[in-house]
Amino acid sequence: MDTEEKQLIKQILDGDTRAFKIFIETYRRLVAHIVFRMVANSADREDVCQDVFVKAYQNLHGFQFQSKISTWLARIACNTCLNYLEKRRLPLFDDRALEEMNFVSHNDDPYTEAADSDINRLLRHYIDALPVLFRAIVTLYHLDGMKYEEISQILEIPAGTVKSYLFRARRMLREKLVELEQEVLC
Amino acid sequence: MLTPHLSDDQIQAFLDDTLPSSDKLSIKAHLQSCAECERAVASYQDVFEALDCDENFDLSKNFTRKVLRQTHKQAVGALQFGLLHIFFILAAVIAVSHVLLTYVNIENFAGTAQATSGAFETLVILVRSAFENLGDKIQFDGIYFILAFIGLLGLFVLDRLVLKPHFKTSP
Ligand SMILES: [Zn+2]
Repeated sequence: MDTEEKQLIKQILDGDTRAFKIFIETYRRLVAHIVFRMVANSADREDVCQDVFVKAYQNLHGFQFQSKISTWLARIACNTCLNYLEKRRLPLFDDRALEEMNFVSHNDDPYTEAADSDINRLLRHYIDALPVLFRAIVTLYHLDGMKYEEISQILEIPAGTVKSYLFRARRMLREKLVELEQEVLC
Repeated sequence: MLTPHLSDDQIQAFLDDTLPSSDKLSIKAHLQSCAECERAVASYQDVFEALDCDENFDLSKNFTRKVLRQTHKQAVGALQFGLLHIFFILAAVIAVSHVLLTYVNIENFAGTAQATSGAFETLVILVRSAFENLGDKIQFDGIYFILAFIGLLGLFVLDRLVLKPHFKTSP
């Protein structure tokens, strides 16, 4: 962990509001990536992001500097999202859902194939339909450039499982894409 | 000689750029001669591109301010909670000392305490003398209620006029 990060945390703990502002500005993108991908309801996303930073502020004194601050904060974000989903009794993860992955979008704005044929947007729509743990893994890996080991610490699952889930998620997306391309060709 | 098609995992690892350079070279060579694997790589490239796309993750402009406001509200809340504790401790100390000073016959107590040695005995005498005097002296002490009220009012004023405005302006 670099000394700049340590200094920033020390300043926040000393009650420096400007230091906490820098902290929020630095990590808001990371938190948004996780929350936006894990929480389907767009009306709740910003509140959940806010909760993440408030929790981080409350627990900062207990931060042991044993991991990167981004790893620690990402764990708070993931746990906050999982609590949110559990409270609303939204499905977290089950193997049945994986096998017969149902690509019904959880997104708020209904997507119609006729309205948008852009593959990228279509795929992002499918990403939103992946099981929540897969969504967390692909987000941390692709958007935040995290290694298997870091993701394993964040989600508290073995690094090997992170890798196999990442590959499985991408394979599911690719299969969906191929299916679609074949439909277009027929 | 026909080489076997690339596996799914090989293609993903190739696009992740996590393979040793010798493996990368042989994959590249295979892709040049195999249209099927080339198509598979192309569709995986679309998947990777979508996963790497960092759009639509925008928080509102005043997000930082909202978080700061909330954490400050909590800090004020914690301070008020602390003040409340201090108030109750002070009130308890005042009440106990009031009872002791009013109802315990100090001179009498001092005399007896000198004659005894142990701390426990001293305490027993103290409590006993308090109860002995309680019956004679118990009465409504209006002045203590007024003092308590003024104390509470003081804390309220301190909280509303001094602490709250201070915390409101700091972010
Ligand atoms: Zn091939």
